[in-house]
Amino acid sequence: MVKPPDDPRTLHYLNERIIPRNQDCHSDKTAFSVVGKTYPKPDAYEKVTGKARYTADLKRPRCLVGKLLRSTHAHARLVRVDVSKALQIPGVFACVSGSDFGELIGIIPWTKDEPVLAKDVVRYIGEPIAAVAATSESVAQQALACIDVHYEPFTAHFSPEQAMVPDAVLIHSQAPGNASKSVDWEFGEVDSAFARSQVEVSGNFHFEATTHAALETHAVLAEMGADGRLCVWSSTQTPYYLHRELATVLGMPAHQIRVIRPHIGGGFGGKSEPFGHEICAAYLAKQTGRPVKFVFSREETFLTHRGRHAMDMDLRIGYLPDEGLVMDYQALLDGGAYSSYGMITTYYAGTLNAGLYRVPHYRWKSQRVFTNKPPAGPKRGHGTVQPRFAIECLVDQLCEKLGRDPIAFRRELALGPNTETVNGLRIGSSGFVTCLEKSADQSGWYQKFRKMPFGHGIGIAGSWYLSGTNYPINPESNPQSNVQIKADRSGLITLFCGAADIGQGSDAMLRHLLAEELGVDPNRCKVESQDSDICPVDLGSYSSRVTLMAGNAAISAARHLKNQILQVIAQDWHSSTKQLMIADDRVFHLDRPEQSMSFVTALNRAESVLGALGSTGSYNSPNRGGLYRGALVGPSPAYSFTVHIAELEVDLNSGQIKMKRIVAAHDCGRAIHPQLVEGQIEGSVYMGMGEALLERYETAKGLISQPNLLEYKMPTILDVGTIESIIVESPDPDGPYGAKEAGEGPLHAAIPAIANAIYDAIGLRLYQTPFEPGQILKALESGHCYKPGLPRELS
Amino acid sequence: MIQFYLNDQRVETDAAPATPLLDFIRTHRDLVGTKAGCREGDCGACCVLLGYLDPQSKHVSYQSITSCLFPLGNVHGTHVVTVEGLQEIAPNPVQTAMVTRGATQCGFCTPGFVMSWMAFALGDGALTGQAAEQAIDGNICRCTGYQSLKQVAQDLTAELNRSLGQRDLSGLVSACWVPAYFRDIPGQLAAIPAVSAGSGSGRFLAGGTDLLVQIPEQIQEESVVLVHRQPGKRSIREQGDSLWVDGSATVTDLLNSPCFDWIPNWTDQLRLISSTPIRNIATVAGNLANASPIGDLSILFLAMDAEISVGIHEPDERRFPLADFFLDYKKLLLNPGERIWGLTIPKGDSRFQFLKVSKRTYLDIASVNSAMRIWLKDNHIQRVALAAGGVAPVPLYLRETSRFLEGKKPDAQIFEQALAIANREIAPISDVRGSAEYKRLLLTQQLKVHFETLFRDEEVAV
Ligand SMILES: Cc1cc2nc3c(=O)[nH]c(=O)nc-3n(C[C@H](O)[C@H](O)[C@H](O)COP(=O)(O)OP(=O)(O)OC[C@H]3O[C@@H](n4cnc5c(N)ncnc54)[C@H](O)[C@@H]3O)c2cc1C
Ligand code: FES
Ligand code: FES
Repeated sequence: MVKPPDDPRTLHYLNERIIPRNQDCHSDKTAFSVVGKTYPKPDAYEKVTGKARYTADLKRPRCLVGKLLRSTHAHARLVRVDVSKALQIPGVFACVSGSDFGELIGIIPWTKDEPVLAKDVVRYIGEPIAAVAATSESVAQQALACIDVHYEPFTAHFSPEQAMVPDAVLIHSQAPGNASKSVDWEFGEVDSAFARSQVEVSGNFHFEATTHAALETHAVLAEMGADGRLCVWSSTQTPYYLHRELATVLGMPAHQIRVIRPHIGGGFGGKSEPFGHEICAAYLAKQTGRPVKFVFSREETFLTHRGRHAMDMDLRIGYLPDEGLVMDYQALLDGGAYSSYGMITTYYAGTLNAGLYRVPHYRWKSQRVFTNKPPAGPKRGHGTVQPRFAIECLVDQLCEKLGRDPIAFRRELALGPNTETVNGLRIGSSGFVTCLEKSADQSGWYQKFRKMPFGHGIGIAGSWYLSGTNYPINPESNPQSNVQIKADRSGLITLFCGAADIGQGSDAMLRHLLAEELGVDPNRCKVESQDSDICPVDLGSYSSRVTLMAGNAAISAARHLKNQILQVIAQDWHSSTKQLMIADDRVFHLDRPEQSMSFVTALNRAESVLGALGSTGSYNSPNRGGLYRGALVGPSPAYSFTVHIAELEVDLNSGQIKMKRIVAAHDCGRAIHPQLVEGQIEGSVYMGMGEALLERYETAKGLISQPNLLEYKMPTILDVGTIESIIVESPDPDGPYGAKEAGEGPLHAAIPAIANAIYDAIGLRLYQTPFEPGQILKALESGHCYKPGLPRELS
Repeated sequence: MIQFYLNDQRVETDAAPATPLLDFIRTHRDLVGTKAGCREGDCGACCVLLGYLDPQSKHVSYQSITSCLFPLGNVHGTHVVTVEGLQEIAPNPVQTAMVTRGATQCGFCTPGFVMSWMAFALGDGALTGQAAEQAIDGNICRCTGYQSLKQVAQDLTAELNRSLGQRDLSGLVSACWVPAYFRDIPGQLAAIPAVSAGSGSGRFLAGGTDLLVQIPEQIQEESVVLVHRQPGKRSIREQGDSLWVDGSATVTDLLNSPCFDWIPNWTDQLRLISSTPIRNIATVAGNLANASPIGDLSILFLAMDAEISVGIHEPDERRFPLADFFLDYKKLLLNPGERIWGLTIPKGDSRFQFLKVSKRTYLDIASVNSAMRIWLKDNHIQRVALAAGGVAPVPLYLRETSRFLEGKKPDAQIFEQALAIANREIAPISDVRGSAEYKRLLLTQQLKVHFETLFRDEEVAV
């Protein structure tokens, strides 16, 4: 075991913030005219009228259909992939296989282990082997059928346990023991703390793999321009990373590549890395001179996966009345065939566990293992959802053992604002306690907990999450987010930023900040974010980073522009810029009420003096976090906090769970656009509820068992009950006007809150997701169920 | 030649009749507002409106359907409306409410929701918030968690109720729910010559909700006999001392038919079957012929003690108990070329209940389903029909259990014995819908519920 170099006890809970202020952060404003108000999202009308174009909707003249041939073996040597027959079919323009590509791809620079098309070895059923470009779907299908593939099967591993046996066949030759990544840490004095602890609980938990199931399947279109420039339209959350990967793999100068992100039909982490099919489309377009388009079927999207890792977790928690909790935790992650984000997932599987509550003693081991299944990756709440399920279930058990109310107990244990976790994560603002109080009030907790009839239950859980990571995926010194603003004499203000709006509404958020900072009507502001040729780089929509990072960059840029305009007007009015302000689309003089001017007039005046008006802004996060290896995963400029209270009914005849309501209080720092925040809370709660009750990404001998949306079940409107969101605002010094994230953090708590509610209803502890009627009915029939809190004979 | 109206355009096409309507719309007509999320009926992103003309009243009635599964050949003589066929200039009240409530995030599901709600607005069902939510039970949204969509459901209901006086077409046109060209559609549809359904030779194709999922490519190459019929022709009617259910009746037809008024909660029971846009096209004959061991309609009609009419040319070439129809896994007592024309159900003073348990309560295939019908006389059970799905290779008529109960006076002991017999009659297997043990448990629970509810007035403690 490696010990962190610095003694963590010296980093104890900081009473005040010792972090130097980051000049990229703009949290100084407290009174608002646009922020906090809801306006329709700029893309809403296009979407309701069916005019919004997604990648699959795009048409280019003479476009070819791209299709992939996929492996039918879970693990095999590829002895031969012969595309020559396919190439002879009329209508087939190109057909490529693994040998056409030299570079391996992968989002994490240190773990690029995935071929564009399988070469030498296939590692999961469904792995792309060859790609064809043809005049039609049916010709392409025909061509795929003519590709001669010869496999020599190896032993395949379908579980981490299987893959880890000594001398197991290796899935990647560079990964001994099929280990993808291991982490092993101890902070504080875990063993002695357990010896001192008043009460101890433990459990072995399993979190089932799940997938994103965004409604839009993967799609990409690529075209070479006559000028030799490549244009790629793709359904991606990370256009910038795609841009980089295209340049590297195709060996093209990056400035010759243009990536366009059309409207995206949902991502949730499933579209946040460059994929082989995107590279293939570009390569085939280059080779044929024709546009090439791939649109995945639902089944192919399931095969592409990168969903939530199945995790086995051993967790032991002890309670030390004066100190807090001691935790001993081990996680085994089923990684699937490639690394994807897995290295980071392995860290996330542990790094946020020592927060939310006071946990001065924490031991953590996580191990990600390669298996012959579609690669797991990041899904909303990346790697942290699974352990939070285990922790919150055990905290519920602790409360029961101690006879404590779960809310009072959590309040007592809460880590509070301006603190630091034992593993070096610095927390700025925290509204966790407010979340506890508000959700308790709204849900009627004290009238219901342990007080409802058998079969009816209420349960609580908390969680926290990061607002972007301090250390980006690619170690580079360029800013993490950039914004450019153009101010036009027409009065139109356009903000350019590569931040990927995948439906969450980042365009609306940026427009709000722009209008707020300039003091103008949001309707004169426009956001352009789709096109890499005109938008400066933002790293993309992942890790809940966009509001904080692009938001701060936008405020910086808007502030510069405002200053330019005000300087000109101040000179005209013989006063200083400090005496001027812009509000309601007008420039005012603070001391001379009679002196004002419309914003557009001011803009024209400024242009006539300064020439073309524009400004830029950037954001880079501060260097924070511990000093040990791995300490760079987890630190975030700011953390969000959540509490869920779930209420449900167990059908005693069938074991089915009927959701009644989930009250979700979320501290997002500042709700820039409240309706969007609510939408993110509701959507997260919904996704968590699906994982708690229904969703299961399973394979049988490497073959996916639920390759469609009938078998991969997500709740319908009739299944969800009511989701009530409560916005809690504890502005963070690092957030744009104090804002933190809202897109992922409100998911986690749904799962343990539901588990704890089932316990309240029928006295059954669940250790495995999803909580299917089968296991519940079996327990009910076995006669072991009872109403907790009541004497057994009454329940 | 298939002829129909697509939005305000007349369409004539020779495309294969089994072409999914969605492909025709998106690929042939470039109307890409309609989305493909799954192509298997599971998500509702492809929902469009299908309007049928009633030749007598000259009224066009609209329903939402999943265009990814509906065969193009079936739209002959109808009005198909995609999102592009709504207001071109300004958004309509459904669209406005969705914008106002923030009910579109990524927006990929949105056109499907809009169309499902247009069917709600144009239909003649109850105008309640609950009905408005049920109207979108076939639309999956992965982003919103449905809360904003629930608000839209309330808004629409309120708005429609406010303008209830004018819920006819002209009222909806003047309130800008639908564009003015809708007024001309009845006349235009009337001018399309009828084709005789059910002619030719080949595989029967009805709603397509099984076939277009199972063999989507193959079916387009084959010659097919289209047996889907216009609403007026798919009758459910009383016929002496029995009921006639046409094989082409859809689940929605069953749900709305007054012939089943004697069954309490009939509509709630049928709402457990698939989803609104699937129920609007899925047929009785299709469900029986598909012979799924958990086919809901198969179970339901087995327990109604129905007789099935089959024949190559006409309905009553052969008529026999439906209980004899299912021979073995996907093997039927049906000769090549024989068509299922319909079912005859005995009327009579009886009680009926259908139960279904699935992993997801709505829009799911059953883990176990069951139905029971009882006739009582003088405190005795005169006649029983009991069927269960998911517990055998066929939709199972529980013959022995049914016979056992007949003539008995209902009491707890009798039910205990019946449960034991039922448990001997079934042979569930473990699969994705549950373990064998769980299915056994489920059926036992369902039978208990049947006994409890169907004999509730008999004062027997179960
Ligand atoms: C999303 C989804 C959800 C579903 N949910 C349910 C559910 O909850 N419960 C359930 O039971 N089913 C469900 N189904 C299955 C399906 O909807 C039903 O089985 C439906 O009744 C089939 O009818 P159809 O008209 O669409 O059949 P088709 O697909 O048109 O045909 C099915 C079969 O019937 C044959 N056939 C059709 N008409 C005749 C005829 N007149 N004579 C002889 N053979 C004929 C066809 O040749 C074919 O073999 C679901 C399907 C989907 C896609
Ligand atoms: S595309 Fe999903 S239901 Fe048709
Ligand atoms: S808004 Fe994205 S699926 Fe509904």
